[in-house]
Amino acid sequence: MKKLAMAKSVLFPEFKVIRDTDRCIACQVCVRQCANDVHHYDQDDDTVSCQDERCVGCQRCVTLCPTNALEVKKREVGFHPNANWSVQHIRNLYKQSETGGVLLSGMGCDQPYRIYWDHLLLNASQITNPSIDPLREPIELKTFLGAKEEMLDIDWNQDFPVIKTQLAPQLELNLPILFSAMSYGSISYNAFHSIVEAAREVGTHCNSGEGGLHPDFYPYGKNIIVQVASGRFGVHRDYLQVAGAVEIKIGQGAKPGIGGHLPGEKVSLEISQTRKIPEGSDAISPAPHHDIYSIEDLQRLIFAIKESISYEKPVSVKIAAVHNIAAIASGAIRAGADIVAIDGIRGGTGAAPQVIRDNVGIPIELALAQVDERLRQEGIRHRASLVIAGGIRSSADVIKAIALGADAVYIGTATLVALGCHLCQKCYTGKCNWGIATQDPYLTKRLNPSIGKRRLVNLMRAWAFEIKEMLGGMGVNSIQSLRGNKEHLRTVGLTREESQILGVKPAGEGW
Amino acid sequence: MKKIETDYFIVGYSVASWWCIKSIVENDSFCCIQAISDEKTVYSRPLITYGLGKTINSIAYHGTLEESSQVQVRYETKVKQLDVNRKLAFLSDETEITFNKALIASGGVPILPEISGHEIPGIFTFTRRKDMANIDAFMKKNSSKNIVILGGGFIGLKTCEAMMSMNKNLTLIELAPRLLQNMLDEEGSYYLEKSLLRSGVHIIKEDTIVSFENEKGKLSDVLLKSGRRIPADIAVMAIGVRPNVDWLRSSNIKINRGILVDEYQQSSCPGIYAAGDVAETCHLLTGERNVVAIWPEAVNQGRIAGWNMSGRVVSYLGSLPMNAVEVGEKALVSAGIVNPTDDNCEIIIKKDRENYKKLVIKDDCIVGVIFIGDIEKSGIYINLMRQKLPVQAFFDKLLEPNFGLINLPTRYRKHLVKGAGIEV
Amino acid sequence: MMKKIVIHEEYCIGCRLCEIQCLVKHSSSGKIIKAFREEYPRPISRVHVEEEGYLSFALQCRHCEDATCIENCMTGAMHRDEKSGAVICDEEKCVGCWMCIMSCPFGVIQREKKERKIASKCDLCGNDGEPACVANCPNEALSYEEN
Repeated sequence: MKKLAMAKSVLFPEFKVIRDTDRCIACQVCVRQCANDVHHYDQDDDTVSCQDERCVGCQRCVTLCPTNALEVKKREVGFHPNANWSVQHIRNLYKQSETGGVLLSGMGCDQPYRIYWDHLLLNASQITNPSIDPLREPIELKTFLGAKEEMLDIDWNQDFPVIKTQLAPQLELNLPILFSAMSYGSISYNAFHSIVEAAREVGTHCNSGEGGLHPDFYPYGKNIIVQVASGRFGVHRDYLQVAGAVEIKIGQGAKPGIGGHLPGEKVSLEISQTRKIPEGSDAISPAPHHDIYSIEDLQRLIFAIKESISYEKPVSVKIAAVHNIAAIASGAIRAGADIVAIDGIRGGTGAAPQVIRDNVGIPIELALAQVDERLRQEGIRHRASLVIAGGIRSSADVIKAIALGADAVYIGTATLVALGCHLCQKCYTGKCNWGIATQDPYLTKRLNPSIGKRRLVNLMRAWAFEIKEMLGGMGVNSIQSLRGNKEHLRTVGLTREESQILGVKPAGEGW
Repeated sequence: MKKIETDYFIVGYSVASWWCIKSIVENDSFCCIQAISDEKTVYSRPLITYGLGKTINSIAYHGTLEESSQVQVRYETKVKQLDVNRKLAFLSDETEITFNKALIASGGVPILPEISGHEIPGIFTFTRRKDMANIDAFMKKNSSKNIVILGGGFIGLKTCEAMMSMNKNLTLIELAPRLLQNMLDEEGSYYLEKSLLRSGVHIIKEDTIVSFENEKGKLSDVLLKSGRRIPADIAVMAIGVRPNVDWLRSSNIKINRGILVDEYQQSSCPGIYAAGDVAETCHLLTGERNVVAIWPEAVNQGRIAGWNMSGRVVSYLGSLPMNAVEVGEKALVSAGIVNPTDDNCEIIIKKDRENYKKLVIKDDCIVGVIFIGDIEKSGIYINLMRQKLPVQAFFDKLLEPNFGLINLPTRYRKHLVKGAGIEV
Repeated sequence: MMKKIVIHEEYCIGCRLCEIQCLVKHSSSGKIIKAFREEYPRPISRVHVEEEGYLSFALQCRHCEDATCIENCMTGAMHRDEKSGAVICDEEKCVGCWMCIMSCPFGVIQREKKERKIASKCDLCGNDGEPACVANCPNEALSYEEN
């Protein structure tokens, strides 16, 4: 990044570090733990001081301070209030005029677009069709992802009903939640380790992302969906053989239309060996797959992969939620995808140009509703499972997604937050203070995989129970009964068009 | 005349004997052990300096002693005659003991040069409990403002340490050109002297006492070789100790400075073992014969002797001299060969106003350690010396302030813990 | 069976919260701000973090089975606690001769000046639940386990 040689930067610090001197004991834990060198210890007067301009607001020092002496806040800038020229816009202008570069950012879109999950409400049983108590009755959350048959030929004459039709390969999940695609490279070895361990223990799947799969994780292969992205990083025979499923990544919600980006700072020796690229070089995936220029090309790739895995595993296609998403999804299914994964505008990333992250794509709620509707109209909804991603924050979002038509959801940002992420959005620097989005061996130690796994398993267990509570409250004892059942949803605070696009009645309307 | 038969006969009942007995009882649960001591009670001998200085109330030893009924101890008893061939001992209380195996752990006696006037009251040695009691009693009854200590070695310094807290005029006299001649080098002893001077101790080097002067029968001055005259109310002879072997001169046991023992702590007479301040073993690093009169050696030698005596054959790798002392707020640790005469040794030093660290390295192993000031990590280096671990791999880090186990090869530190411990 | 502190060096992040909490646990007030600001001389921590490059770990007394410090102690102040099996220095009996410091191959014993000079080292926090260093490690780099 080029900087103006002599002139003073007009950029002001983003964060303010407030130290309560009555509580500070100059123990230097903050000094040691900040990867950005914000805190300094002065030996002469035994005090710790800070350089606010380096702070990224990750809250690491605040969390670890043994006397709770620190507070990190967004600095209040004294600009004249201006609804149009927000502080964010002004900062970006200063930055770009000083560097001439594309502004990068990490994690998902943080702009105040409407969040449709917050405008969807669930039903509950009252007098008739009573609620089910999940502590007393079993509630089925098990989910199968893969192509379903139109008709099943069943032999009723045996001791048990026997399905004579050969079924397409399925992924079996204990609950309708998977861990989203986060490449080893964008996240650390320890973070990836926590995720695969949790996936195995919970009985669900995680996704390798486009960074290939480290050989240490081959034993977990059955619980991993491996990705074949436009850069084809780390794709080789063993990679496809150990996996539980294969996913062709066409696009991702954070940056539809462009490829993945792993800055050179994060390409360590291990990453370079896993991705099969030179150490220290930027790993930039091309925007398109250079062998896919038509839907037939996609069909060819899908079947090439199916052949190589002997049709034993489902093949998924991941697309970003853009304007014509319904047609694209339909095309992907007709091209042979067993699972279609759709990633909305709120999806996260390790590094993306800020303008693209915040302005390209559409909310997943609208995309999902339209895709589900379109596929049902075309009569092909059963030919693939729909998995959606992009800003699922709680078990309520999961249930609403299922009710809108999804078979399962991917959680990305929520996974990282469970591991300790504080959403400072500086993943692209490789200096993640929590040991998640970094390859620096000093920082990656901070994420103990056994603690990480425990936290993720706890999260999944908590959400599974909350989902059961909500299902039970609706009088439904199987997640399958809720799938695409939009009658259990109502909208509130949306325009009539929005409600219609979602296919959900406004609150107040009855059956 | 009482006649007693025993399996094991232990002469002396201090550190070496305690550990010898412990080892014997471990291996041989039904044997009979007879021990004699010329003292009245059991106590920890090095504590007499602390007892005098009133740092502690009692000099009793609180560690574990073998209390089983197999052991019988006779106090205030000495050996009048030892017949090594017939394995017979005649004791001062008219008992005759026949034994199978014996341990001689009679300790050391103070070195007493013949100085005119040495019978004047007020002149003491300082190696036993009764010395401490005598000095204490004398100080209570007489004015004892001026105290002269002859000997700038380890014992002299410990005596000095004891008396420094008692608000006296202390003079320390040493024959050699520097204090702690064997334990320190020239530069190191400078730190020690500076610390003693700061505490008000008067140091006289390259001199010794030629006579004691009295006035009306009481000690008044000491006359030095240089001609100087130092006023003295009390004089302590702290030149050193030598092995207590005079009572054995008539027997056939081979004695040099101390009782010569092999690597099993056995003397030249089969069945007779020796351990502690009385034994002359081999130096761990040079292999030369030496007497190392320190507590850790008494423990090790006593234990090895006990095992060998009771049938478990264990050889002793050798003695390592090491000592720690703190005078005038300055702590110091010295171990191994600190004044090498060999040109093949490499010496590395790190020092500042308050600290002095010196390592002597030969054939890639540490052979000598001096730490003055911050002595906390000295144990790591001494253990490296004992294990003879090559230091080439971390040579540059050796005297860094943060040197620790982390700089040592991983395989070494993971097996460092003795017995079933938790690895590092 | 005796419980000891196990070190997991791959998870030590070098924050030194273990040192801080050990110091507080062994202070007179037991309160962190008071211990650091108002107690003089400042109490010392019995555990120390050694750091070299990316590697670090917290080192305290290993409570060895054949403890050389116990053998070489001239007063018997260094002894093994019957119940916990830990090696403890009895401060009433210690005279500060520093034989133990010289004997410890780990270098984990320190000099402390209270009313007298005494040898100071890890005492497993009096066997009163989890030791402070283990309980306060933010990354579970120390654990308290049976041998």
